[in-house]
Amino acid sequence: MRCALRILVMLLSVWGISGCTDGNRQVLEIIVPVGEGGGSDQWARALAPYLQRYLDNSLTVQVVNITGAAGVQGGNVFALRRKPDGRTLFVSSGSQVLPWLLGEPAVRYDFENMRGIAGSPVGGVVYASADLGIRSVEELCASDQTLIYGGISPTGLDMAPLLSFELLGVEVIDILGYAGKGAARVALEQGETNLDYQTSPAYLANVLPLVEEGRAVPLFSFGLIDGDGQVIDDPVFPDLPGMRKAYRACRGHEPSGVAWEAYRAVLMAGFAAQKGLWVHANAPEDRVQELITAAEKATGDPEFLERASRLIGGYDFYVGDNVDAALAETARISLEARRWLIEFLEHGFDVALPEPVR
Amino acid sequence: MRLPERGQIIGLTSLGLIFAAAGAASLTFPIRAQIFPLFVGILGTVLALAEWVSMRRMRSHHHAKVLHTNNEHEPWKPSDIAGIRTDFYRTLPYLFWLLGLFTLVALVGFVSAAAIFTAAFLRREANVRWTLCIVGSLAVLGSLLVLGNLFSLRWPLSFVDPLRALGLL
Amino acid sequence: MIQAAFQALLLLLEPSNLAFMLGGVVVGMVVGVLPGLGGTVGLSLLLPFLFGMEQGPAIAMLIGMAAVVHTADTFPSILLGAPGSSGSQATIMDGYPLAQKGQAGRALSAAFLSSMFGGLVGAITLLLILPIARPLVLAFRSPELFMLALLGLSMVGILSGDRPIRGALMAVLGLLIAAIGAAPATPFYRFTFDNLYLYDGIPLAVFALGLFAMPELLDLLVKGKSIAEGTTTRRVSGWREGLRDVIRERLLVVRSAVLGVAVGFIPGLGGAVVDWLSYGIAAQTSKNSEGFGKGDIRGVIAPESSNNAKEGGALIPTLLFGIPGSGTTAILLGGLVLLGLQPGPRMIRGDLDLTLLIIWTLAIANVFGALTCLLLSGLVARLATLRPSVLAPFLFVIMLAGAFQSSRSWGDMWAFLVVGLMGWVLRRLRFPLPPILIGFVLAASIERNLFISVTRYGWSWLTAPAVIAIGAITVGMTILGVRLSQKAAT
Repeated sequence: MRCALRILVMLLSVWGISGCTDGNRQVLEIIVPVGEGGGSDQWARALAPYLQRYLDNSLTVQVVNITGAAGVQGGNVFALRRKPDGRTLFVSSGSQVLPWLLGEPAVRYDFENMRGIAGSPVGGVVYASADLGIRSVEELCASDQTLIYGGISPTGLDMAPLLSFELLGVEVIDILGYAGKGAARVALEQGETNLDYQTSPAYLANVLPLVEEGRAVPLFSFGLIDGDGQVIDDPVFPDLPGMRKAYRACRGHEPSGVAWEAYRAVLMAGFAAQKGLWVHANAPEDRVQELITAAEKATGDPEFLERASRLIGGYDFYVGDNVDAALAETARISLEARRWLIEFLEHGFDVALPEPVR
Repeated sequence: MRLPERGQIIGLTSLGLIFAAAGAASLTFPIRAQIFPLFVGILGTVLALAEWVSMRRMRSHHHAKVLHTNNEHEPWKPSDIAGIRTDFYRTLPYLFWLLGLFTLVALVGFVSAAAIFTAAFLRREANVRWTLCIVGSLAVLGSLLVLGNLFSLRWPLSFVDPLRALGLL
Repeated sequence: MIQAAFQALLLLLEPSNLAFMLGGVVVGMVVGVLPGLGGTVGLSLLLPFLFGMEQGPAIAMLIGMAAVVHTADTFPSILLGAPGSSGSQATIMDGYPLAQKGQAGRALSAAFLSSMFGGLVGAITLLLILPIARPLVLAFRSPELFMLALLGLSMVGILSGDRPIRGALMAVLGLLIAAIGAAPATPFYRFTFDNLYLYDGIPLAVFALGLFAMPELLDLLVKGKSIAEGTTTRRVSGWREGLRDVIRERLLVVRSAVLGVAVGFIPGLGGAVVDWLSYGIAAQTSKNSEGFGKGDIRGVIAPESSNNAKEGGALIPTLLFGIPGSGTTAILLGGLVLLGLQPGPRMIRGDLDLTLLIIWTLAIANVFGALTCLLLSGLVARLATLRPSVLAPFLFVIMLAGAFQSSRSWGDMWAFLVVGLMGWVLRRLRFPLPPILIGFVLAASIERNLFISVTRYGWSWLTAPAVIAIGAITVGMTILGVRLSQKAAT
């Protein structure tokens, strides 16, 4: 009996303690739609403490992973099950934007109903195995060797290289189904494939040593999108032609048309606005402004930039309205271009998507 | 050993049908997504059929062989006489308990439900004294609260959540 | 390198690093003991604390946690027949029967000691292989990975009892259930019946827990007797005997550890398959193996040793290539990146000191974890003597809480229930359960690698020497396994 009483007292005190710690704080929830350790998760967790620093003291920033439905569930929960009170944020990456762009039925969120708080772009580099003996993008276009590209899924970020090959007029055998970008890179090293792309941070960390050893050759970069919506060269890779230059080199004229438009949209969705932090569009304005100001300070904090540099890869953040503008560019894809893209995916990769209507 | 074998024939037939259905369904998938489930469906149907045939032959040869599998842990020979149905009836009460737990979770949240469930189960099923039931219940409550807050565990969505309202979660 | 290794050891022994390592060890133990939670949950629990920490203590904490999960996860496997994490399933096969015979203490101590030695071997092997690992990892292309997955599947032979067709059937069932969700090569969702939860398939933790734990618990309740009923010796301190067992079987410990490292190091395969492989091979290559499945201590020693060793193996592709070998290493990778490390070739050139710190932490944390578990085992083993109706509510709650953390949706709980029911029915109908899990775990690897192999090489990959070699071993293992389990059943 006394034993039981002692246990009771212990438990009650524990209960009391755990109650105290959380009593008075308000929580700012950041929903990450991928699992712990994933790219968006790292980005959010890197940013969170600095947001916390510049926000009102009574707010605790908490990163919450809500996974499911291949990265779509987190967005759905944000859109459908969270109040637009300015206390819930959502982190997006290519895997959330591209399905939205393609109109996949599982997507119940809409970026047009969100406001941007912060975002960061990332670049990508296409490189080839040195065994091919190809040294530049011109040689790539002129080559008649068997080109084999290894990727993950035709509706993921791989859309960018797949579209770029299509635009450049390069014949490539696409082997999709690798478990991740790391596995695809290893496949290139093994000789199973001879073409691959990597995002800039991954390229700098893992492929650059190969290039220095003479086993890989960078060919072109996907490029970024500037304020006027034009595809420009990637500032992190000034020696590499961006997609526009590559196109000119291979085709002999400036790029235009529905395929190019589709590429621009995919580039925007998957790379130029690669990571985004969003709040509900109808959240209270004062809270939104508070968040944007905090984001501005956080992304400008030298300590943050130093720690996050390997994640971000040397690109600049943008904040607030610029994030909205970036994504609006994506949404501004014309109906023809959207149709072309879906047709391209259906035809080449057996992907079934609903007919686009806007 | 007739009765267990009847249950097994039914089980095998069901499995075979499931595999066949899966295989058939996979024919509607795009090719790249189809190959694996189609192959698995066919293989499964074939194996189920093979085992079915093998069992019928055993039955007709009056083999009273006791079937061993490697997950036979208990020295208790389960229902060789009684059959799977009786076993199921014996297990049913506990399934109802679980469903009750699920309902409670949906109503008042996981932690509260767990505490209530523990007390109730200990009392009804284990015939434990009331005081100890409460202790058990509080132990569950305390541990879930501490671990949950410490480790930022998430709990299922529920209709109401008094603990969250109290600021404890 | 020796000098660097020594310096790294000194670094670890600094009080702040050591303290954080111990913190990680504690988290790892708690997470390991609670069935359903695994390395992934533990690491994700630590992630929020990482940012702002110095690299040294942070790494010590992360690795300390990862190293110990597979030591502590033995408790529920042996005492309850429920897998503590995906790595300790095979331990249930012989560990649980031992507990039922009243020898829980012996099983536990043998398991912890094997875990410790296995982990040490893993750390040492990691150290030795590191310089030459790159070409080794590169030697396994998709066809070889496919064949290795098939080899894993062949372990079903030994686990089928005397009816191998049933074992194969169950394995194929596992393959089918794993097909629920996204197809590897095409963004197509199979068998989801328009249910968003099923888009990602059934999580492994939910499946393993539901399949093994639920039926076992239900049966215990129906029987009404405690796990270790009918035993005269209520003394659970058989730890001396366990020690003797491990010393006697020291070759098995080392063999299994090496196997664990080897398999852990193959990306995509590691994780849940290692312990089955180890168990199967131990059963097939040991003398007098009829006792396997009924309480042969070697059936505990082998998987426990390889289980811990595989963490060392899995770190190789993780550190050198940035390719996670398992779910745990995937999050570990994320944690390392958050700390500013960039796994890749630089880990041996630039960040050698940190790499060595990782190895030391792995070794020392293993020892700490095992010793702590040993000390606690007497206490915890008494649980096996409690009435199931007393244990049951706590277990149900813990398992459901654990299952829920997989995708944090109600689907997890329902899936747990449904899978549990399915497991119960199959078990009652004398269908073996372990093959289902093996099929489930290996399905993705099999489909993915087969698809890539055929797309890339047509059918010519079938004639590659490595493929033929592994194929021959697979066939041999299957036949051997089937023969052995038939012998055991008569």
